[in-house]
Amino acid sequence: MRARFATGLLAGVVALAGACRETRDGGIAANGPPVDAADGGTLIVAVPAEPGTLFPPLVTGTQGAAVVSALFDRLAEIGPALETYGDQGFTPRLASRWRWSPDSLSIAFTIDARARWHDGRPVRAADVRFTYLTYVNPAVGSEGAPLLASIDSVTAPDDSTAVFWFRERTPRQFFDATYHMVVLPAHLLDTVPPARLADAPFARQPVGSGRFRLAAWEPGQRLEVVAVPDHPRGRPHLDRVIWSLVPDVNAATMKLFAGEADFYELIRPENLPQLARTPSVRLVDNPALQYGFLGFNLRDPRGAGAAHPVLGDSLVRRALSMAVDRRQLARSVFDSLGITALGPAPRALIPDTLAFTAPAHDPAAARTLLEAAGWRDGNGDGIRDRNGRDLAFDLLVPNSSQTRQRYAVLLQEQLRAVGARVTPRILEVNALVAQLDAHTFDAYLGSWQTSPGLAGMRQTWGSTGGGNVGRYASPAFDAAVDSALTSRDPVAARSHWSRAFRQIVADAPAIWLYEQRQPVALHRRVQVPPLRADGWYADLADWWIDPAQRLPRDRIGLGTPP
Amino acid sequence: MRHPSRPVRLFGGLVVVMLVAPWLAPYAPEAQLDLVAQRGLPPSWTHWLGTDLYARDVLSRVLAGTRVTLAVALGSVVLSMGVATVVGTAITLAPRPVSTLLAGLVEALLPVPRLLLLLACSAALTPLSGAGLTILIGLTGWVAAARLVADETRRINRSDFVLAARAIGLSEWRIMRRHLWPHLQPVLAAHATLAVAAAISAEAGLGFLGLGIAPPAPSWGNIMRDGAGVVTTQWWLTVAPAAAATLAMLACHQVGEAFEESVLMVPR
Amino acid sequence: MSRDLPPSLGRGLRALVHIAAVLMASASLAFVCLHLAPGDAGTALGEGLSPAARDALRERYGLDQPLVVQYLKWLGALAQGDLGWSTSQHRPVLQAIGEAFGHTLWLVIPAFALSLLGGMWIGTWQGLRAGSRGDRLVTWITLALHATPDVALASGVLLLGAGVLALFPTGGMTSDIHAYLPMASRWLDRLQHLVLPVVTIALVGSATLARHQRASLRAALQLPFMAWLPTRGLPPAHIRWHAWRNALAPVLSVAGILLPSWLAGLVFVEQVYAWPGMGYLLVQAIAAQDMALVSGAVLLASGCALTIARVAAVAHAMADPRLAADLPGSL
Repeated sequence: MRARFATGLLAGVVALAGACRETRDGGIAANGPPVDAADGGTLIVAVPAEPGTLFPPLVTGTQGAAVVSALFDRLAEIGPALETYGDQGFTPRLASRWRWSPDSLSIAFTIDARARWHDGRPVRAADVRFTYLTYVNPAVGSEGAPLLASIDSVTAPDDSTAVFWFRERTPRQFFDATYHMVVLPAHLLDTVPPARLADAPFARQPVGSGRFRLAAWEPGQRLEVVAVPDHPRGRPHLDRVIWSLVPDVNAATMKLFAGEADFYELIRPENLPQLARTPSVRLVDNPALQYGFLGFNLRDPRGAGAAHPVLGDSLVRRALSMAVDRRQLARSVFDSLGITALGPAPRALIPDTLAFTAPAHDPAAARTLLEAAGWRDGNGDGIRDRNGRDLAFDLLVPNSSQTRQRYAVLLQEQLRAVGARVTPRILEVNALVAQLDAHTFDAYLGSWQTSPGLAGMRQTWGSTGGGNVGRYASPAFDAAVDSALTSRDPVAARSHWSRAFRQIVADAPAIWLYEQRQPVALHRRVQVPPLRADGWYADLADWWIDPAQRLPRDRIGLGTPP
Repeated sequence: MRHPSRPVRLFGGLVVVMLVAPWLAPYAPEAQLDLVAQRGLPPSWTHWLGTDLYARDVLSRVLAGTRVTLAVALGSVVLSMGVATVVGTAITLAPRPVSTLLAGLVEALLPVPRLLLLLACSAALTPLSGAGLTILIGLTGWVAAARLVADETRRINRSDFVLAARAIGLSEWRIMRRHLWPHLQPVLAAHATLAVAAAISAEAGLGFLGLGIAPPAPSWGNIMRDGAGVVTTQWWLTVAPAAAATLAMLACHQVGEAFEESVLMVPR
Repeated sequence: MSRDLPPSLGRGLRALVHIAAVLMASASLAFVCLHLAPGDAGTALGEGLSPAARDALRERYGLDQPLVVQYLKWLGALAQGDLGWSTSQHRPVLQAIGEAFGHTLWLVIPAFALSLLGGMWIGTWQGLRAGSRGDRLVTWITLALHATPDVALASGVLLLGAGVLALFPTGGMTSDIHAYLPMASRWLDRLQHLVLPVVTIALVGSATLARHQRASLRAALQLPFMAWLPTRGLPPAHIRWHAWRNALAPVLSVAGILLPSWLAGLVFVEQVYAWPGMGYLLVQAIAAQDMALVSGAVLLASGCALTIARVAAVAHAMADPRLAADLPGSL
């Protein structure tokens, strides 16, 4: 009896498994052939987290940014070279054309007459005005507000013209007006009090004017956008894009290799051998505008306003920079998928990388410098001290970043070799942010995503910047950055930037550690234009599936679900 | 007929292993060898259990981590079992107000996730010593065991020999010692062995909150945490400490069994 | 030890008060613990944001008010049946929890059934052969299963089932194109995705239950009356049945603790298999410092625990009639 039961169970499992293999790919309803042969296809993106909100002014993180980029339009899109001077390289999106005023203090955008919101209503200039007011409203609390400071106001003289008025002429006027904002529908949002916009139904069911519209969002599982077939700029080649939530890194990699996901951003060096053995998946270069660093707190954490007892001395900081073999660390952590960072910006955005050099790896010189600064090993324990205080500090690391945790352990060892005791403290993100905001830390491992044109430099390393938690304050650096950002002559701006970088590298408020060169894994059948450095999702509407390599899920078509 | 001191001998053996293990390590556990060429190597003749992400020998780290991991795990299990036994028996045997209060406390604590309790403590506690870690893990893990003990105590309370003992007029204390305690053994021993594994993984989890054994000092939980992101590619980082933990649990299991046998042999 | 039996109305009322007190205590404890934890919903937005953005969020949700005020507000809303608003998911807490609990039920109920059957069967098999080689081997296996970190075990099962054998999907509750599958295939799709996570949970669950079943069966076999039964001429199978009956109670006890803790969420399985259940919800809510969602989830977990405790007490009484005197109403 028991044997029969077991056999029956086994048979049931085998039948289930056998059925599994079939239905994984087959049995899908098709809704007619696509018009253009290259049209059609379902792209599945494996992501480790889902966006919290899809209300564009409050979106943080790549997942939300990717979905917003698909659903919404900017007035004009930046060119692939990410040039921020004037309007070179920008292509029309929601605005079909624009006209500068003779004194360059205003730009008049003409809204595309064919532009429609996903609910059918036409896009009007009042929407642009409403968008600007929402982004800069302090009650909304958008992170983009400080970046729109150069805009004085936005007016809508008629339904199809939106005029941006600027306080002064800057080289980035056009960039400021178009890059940081996606246009929001006023008719759906203007009745909601600004403080409640984050919780309005719009945050989970956004309506945009982009080439994709939101089809479904199953919380905790997936988010699906489908193509808008009658979009004025043409329907996207893909039928749909599904962001599929896979929190576990190993499971996501398995999903990719099994063919159930087409795109995965977080492929790691450990997976490269398996990727080489899987013919259906390939790597695509994904330049990123990100850099990692070890940031020092230049002020005393106890809050007296005095300099940090150990790290307030720039000689000590420079010596610690020299003690670290950054190239070896980058090789160890990233293999060939990472390079050292040169300064407070990714190399792609630094106008002149030869104008300055970070301190080279030289442990002997580091020791000499520390001795000169008065740090000697008085008690023979291997750690330098001065006036009874050890050359020791805590290094805060977020538990969410494997990369930075690895760096912390490696840095601890390298700095011990010159007589500094570094204690990595891995903290949960809330604890880390709380300490950073309160400035009660010694050092931390941080990472910044940089905007094109280095527009955010004031916020990250300027003395009044909200992101400058180490409280680095150099009037010379501030002045150089200001000149660089406001200068209308590219050559002059280059020299200002070089001056700024030389200053900050000499002051060494941080050890500039790495830039990740993370390729993304993509299914062979997906054809893509070169990925933009500020986000791989920028040209999602232009991705297409090779008709000769279509999978069954590419043949679903645009019809509504059965 | 088993020698009554067998559990003591087994436990002593475990302690000896804990003390001796770090001396057997072939490399220094914190030494980062060639950072580029020797990181993440699979097991080989020069590195029996391979190397980890920072080019450190895994075998040395496992051996060096034995002492602190076992001390924390065993200590916290003893603490949590102790508290659970006290609270569990009190729920059944103490007078009504105390019993209801304790029962309510256990029921209220059970659904609160351990993570939350640890996070709440983490704000007040900066890096913990081994003793502090033991107390933290022990004091957050007794609740389920207390429920078990309470249920078992209630069951034993109703059994014939206890009723008979009460009828003769034996004192409560005597009943507890000679009748209750031996019959709680199986449940406690079974739970304790599993609790050792839970304590090891709790220590690993605490590492995520910055409260575990601070790097670069090795502990089995640390090694498992290093290996968590590369389970499928650098499997030795997970298998090595898991195998060590299995051996430790097996030893605890033997101790528990021997203890049980020697206690159950005591004539009533 | 005798207790005075109060009139049944007083008893029922006292039971109700007890339940309400425990529920409120759990949820309030969770509320306070989350507040004590470092940071708040503002810091949970992540690194690299300006203090202004964080402060705007704090003001929006009233997080800058003292703890007592926030607690009383939450309590007041709860009294009107409103579980609150989730600051991390931007929707009502009830909606978020309802969905997640449904997904958890779909996972846990089959897993629990399988664990109970498997655990009892293996544990009984072991208990009857205690000390033999087979018993020792199975003990090694169950201990090894427990020593393996949960996430590694789940990843291992996933690797085996979906990677190496390629028989099952690589995670998720349903296929990403589930909405486009024909009606007939949808149920099959759901079942396919259920197999691996259920197997993973059942491995751990049956290992736990087997250990307890083995221990209690061995203890039951040592009871005096077991030596007496063969003299009555009972067949060996009958004797084993009696032993098993006597060994049931502790196993039911453990099962009664396992089930509510599983219903409160199995984080490692949900994480590896991308299953949006209560475990994942709670971990995300704690990381996001979402007070209302955490309190609501713990309230639900507490309710489950209390309900299952009552059911387990009934099961206990059925297994061991001597305990029937303890029903109804008491712990």
